[in-house]
Amino acid sequence: MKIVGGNPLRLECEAGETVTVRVLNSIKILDLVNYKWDGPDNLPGPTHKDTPISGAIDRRRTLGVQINYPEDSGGSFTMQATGDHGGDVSTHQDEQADGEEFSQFFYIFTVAQ
Amino acid sequence: MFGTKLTTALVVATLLFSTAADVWCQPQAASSGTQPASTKQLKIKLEDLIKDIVAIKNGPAATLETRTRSRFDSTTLVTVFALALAAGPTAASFAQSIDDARVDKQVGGGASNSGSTSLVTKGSVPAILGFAVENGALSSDTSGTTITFRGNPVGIIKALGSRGFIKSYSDDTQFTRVLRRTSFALSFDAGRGPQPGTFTGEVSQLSSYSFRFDILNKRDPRHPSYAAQWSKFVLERGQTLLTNGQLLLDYFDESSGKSDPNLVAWFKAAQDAIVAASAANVGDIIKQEVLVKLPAVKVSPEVSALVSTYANEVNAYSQGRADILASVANGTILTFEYTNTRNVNDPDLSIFNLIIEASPWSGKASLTGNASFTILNKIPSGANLDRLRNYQLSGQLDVPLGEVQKIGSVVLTVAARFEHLMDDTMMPGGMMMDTRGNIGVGQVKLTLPVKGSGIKIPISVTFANRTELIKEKFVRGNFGVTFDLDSIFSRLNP
Repeated sequence: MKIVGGNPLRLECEAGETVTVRVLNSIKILDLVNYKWDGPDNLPGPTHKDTPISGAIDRRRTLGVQINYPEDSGGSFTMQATGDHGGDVSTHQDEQADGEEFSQFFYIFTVAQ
Repeated sequence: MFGTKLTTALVVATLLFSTAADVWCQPQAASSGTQPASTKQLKIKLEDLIKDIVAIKNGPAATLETRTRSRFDSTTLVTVFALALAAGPTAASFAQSIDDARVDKQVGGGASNSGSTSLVTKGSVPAILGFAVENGALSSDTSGTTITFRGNPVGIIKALGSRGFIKSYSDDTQFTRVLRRTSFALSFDAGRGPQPGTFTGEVSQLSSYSFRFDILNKRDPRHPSYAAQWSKFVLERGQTLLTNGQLLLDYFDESSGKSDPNLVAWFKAAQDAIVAASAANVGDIIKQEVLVKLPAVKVSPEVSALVSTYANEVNAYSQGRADILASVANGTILTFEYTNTRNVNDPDLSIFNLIIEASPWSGKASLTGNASFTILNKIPSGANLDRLRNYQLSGQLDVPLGEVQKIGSVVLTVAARFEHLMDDTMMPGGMMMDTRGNIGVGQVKLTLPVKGSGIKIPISVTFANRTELIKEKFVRGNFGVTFDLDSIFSRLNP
């Protein structure tokens, strides 16, 4: 897996590579994190933050992630994405702005040509 | 005699007021106000974006462009883009209210700049405590010549983490969950010690220390009793919001095969403009791109409908969250507090206090109860005293009576306190004879606000069987005025 353009959310994988995304550490976030792979299915859906999410990349795929803040300040988290073929380890961090209620972001996985 | 009665009454009033303040100062659920939640979230996220990009621009030049493009990217900004599009031409109207100036302000320092005190700070201990205050590990407040530092172990660990002393910190281990429920306070009286008037932080100036443990805290939004509500909320509100965000992402991302050419063109031009901007003007450029140019982009009816739905879902999410937090704000707290009071002439005291706060009748009233006892740490030599000095029970019920036109919200308070003195009261000159026994105090109070002024008028009747020093019944009416300085100052400097 390779980080594209220095952006840890834009990742290029080898065909068939399985990626794993997890909450590495967090402060003041809800236990349940919203995840959604692209497509009509609402999968995997809300998942406990300690449970990693995996998926095989055989085409362009997106994974939506939503961190929910139960308090008005002090929340933060670090996400990590890895591929089973090795390469870069992606780390995405964010801190809750005062009054921010949720943080929504998307991984875009593409297949190397 | 009148002076003694007045002092006792004031002490009682202070005690009752202080317990009331504990209740009324609890955080409340987010207020919706007149501004839609979607607009509020857009402003918050946009201010955060500007702050981050200014920080990038002021940082190392080596990877500046890469970091700027990564931060201003559709992978993290779908919410901002969708809410700006949904706001349409009205988005430009609130560009002025986006506070990008605050990114230039120094964070911290305020706590140490109280300045109004004549106390002088010296020595290494104050420097260490000051450092802890500066870095968020402790808070301090000054009253008269007493300086109190408060903190909790988790706050210290987090502060160390933010300074890079601890690599990673997660607040959800069993250990930190327990630590989160503890707090402590240290009070120094600068009037004591070899240099009265100078805060040296020496042990001789330590006038008290206390430790608190929350046995039950249902005002923590992550308390297990709210798990089912949060679970339903995340499933119903959170997942829908994410699903529509993902659909919107594809319109901004060229690689999706479903992108909107107008949105992609805007995004590329906006990103280039932000990369080219200087730290000084990047805030204005971002506001111009997101709040003026983006809402003017011609989009398909599908995108238009989707952003409208997305904004409504943000509002529904916010309302659902506020509803849960309203329940949380009414939760019960049960706290144990130990205070060690270090006296100069009298024996030191240990006070053990159990405090309960609750909001019965679905938050329509506020109830506070205290049960405490005090012991002498050491019995003075030759004195025939019981080690147990006193025990107390007190309770207060605050009932808002509702809004009265042109006055505001009137609150009825009923409070009572019972104290049993095990021995005669100690005075600097010796013992006050025949002062042991029971003291009962009751108070009924009506607090009338002067609407919109920050001023409140409490009218109360206090009755007691005796005071601590004089065995004589009394009934007294009190009439006063209180000022909410925060409220007054916020009007002077909105």
